[in-house]
Amino acid sequence: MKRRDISCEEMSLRIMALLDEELDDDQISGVKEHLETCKKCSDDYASIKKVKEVTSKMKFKKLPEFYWDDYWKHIYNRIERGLSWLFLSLGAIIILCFAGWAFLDKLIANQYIHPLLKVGIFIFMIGIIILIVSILREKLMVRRVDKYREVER
Amino acid sequence: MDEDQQAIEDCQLGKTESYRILVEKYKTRAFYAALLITGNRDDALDLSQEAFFKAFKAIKTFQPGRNFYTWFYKILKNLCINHYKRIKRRNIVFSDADETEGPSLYLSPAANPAEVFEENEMRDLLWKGLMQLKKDDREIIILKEFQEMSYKEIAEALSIPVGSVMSRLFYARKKLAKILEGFK
Repeated sequence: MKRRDISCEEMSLRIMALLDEELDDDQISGVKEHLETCKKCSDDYASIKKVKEVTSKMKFKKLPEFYWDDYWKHIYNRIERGLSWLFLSLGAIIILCFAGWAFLDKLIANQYIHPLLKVGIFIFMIGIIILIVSILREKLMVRRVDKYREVER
Repeated sequence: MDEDQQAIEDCQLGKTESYRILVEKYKTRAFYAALLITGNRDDALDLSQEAFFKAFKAIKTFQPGRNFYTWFYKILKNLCINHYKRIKRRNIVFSDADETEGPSLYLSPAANPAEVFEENEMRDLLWKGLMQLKKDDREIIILKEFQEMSYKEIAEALSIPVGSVMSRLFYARKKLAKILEGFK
């Protein structure tokens, strides 16, 4: 079977794969043969090899062991607490709404309180509920993941 | 079935403790990936933990047969992009970042090579060289050299064909070689 001619462009990718140990055994000899006869590919091989040599000498700074101590625990706690926070906040919102409604119901039925005062209390209650929901949302969704909450804005 | 797949199946069935196998196996890689972006150990720890938490929440969507780390890497990458945007909005750092290029995923201007790598004679030169590459070139080199991903894993992580990985990696390395040569 006649061997297919491979362009230098295709060969250059194989040369890189050779350096990265990603080449099949049957392709290696073909690449090596090509390298012996082609100056351009041979130069590419040399330059990529140099880059690999430089990067392989780089070692990450090791993190002190104590950094890893609570790593899993922290993730586990968040997983476990995720659902309970959701239930807690939902429950709190329902209770608050119910209490607010019960209070307003009695307020409306009370004949001795001036209607203007009733309207004022009603608006005040709505403001309180919006504020509580907003604070809860910020506490649960935003501030918990905000790494820069200590930074002054 | 390999260890990862077994652990993932357990997690999908609600066995949280099995997730520990995956966390213990990939925590170092995840931490270093985040460290290469932030250049700050505390942020890298926080971001990698956050990514593991988010990955667990989404574990039911994980398709069997896929590589866990490359799937996880996408979550981590998105978190890091958000982290970058948040800092940029607050105008604390990154003021000299290239606006047109979008978030520069790896080796941000705020990162310090001394915080990331052990000292050696080529560290600062390589860092400078990597910083001069375009973000896509930088990312593919880092995934190969410092995340030690295979071509197949990189292809999965970046959602591109293996052929494109090879070609992009080749040209990125050639550019880096040229830059490093210029420093001499």
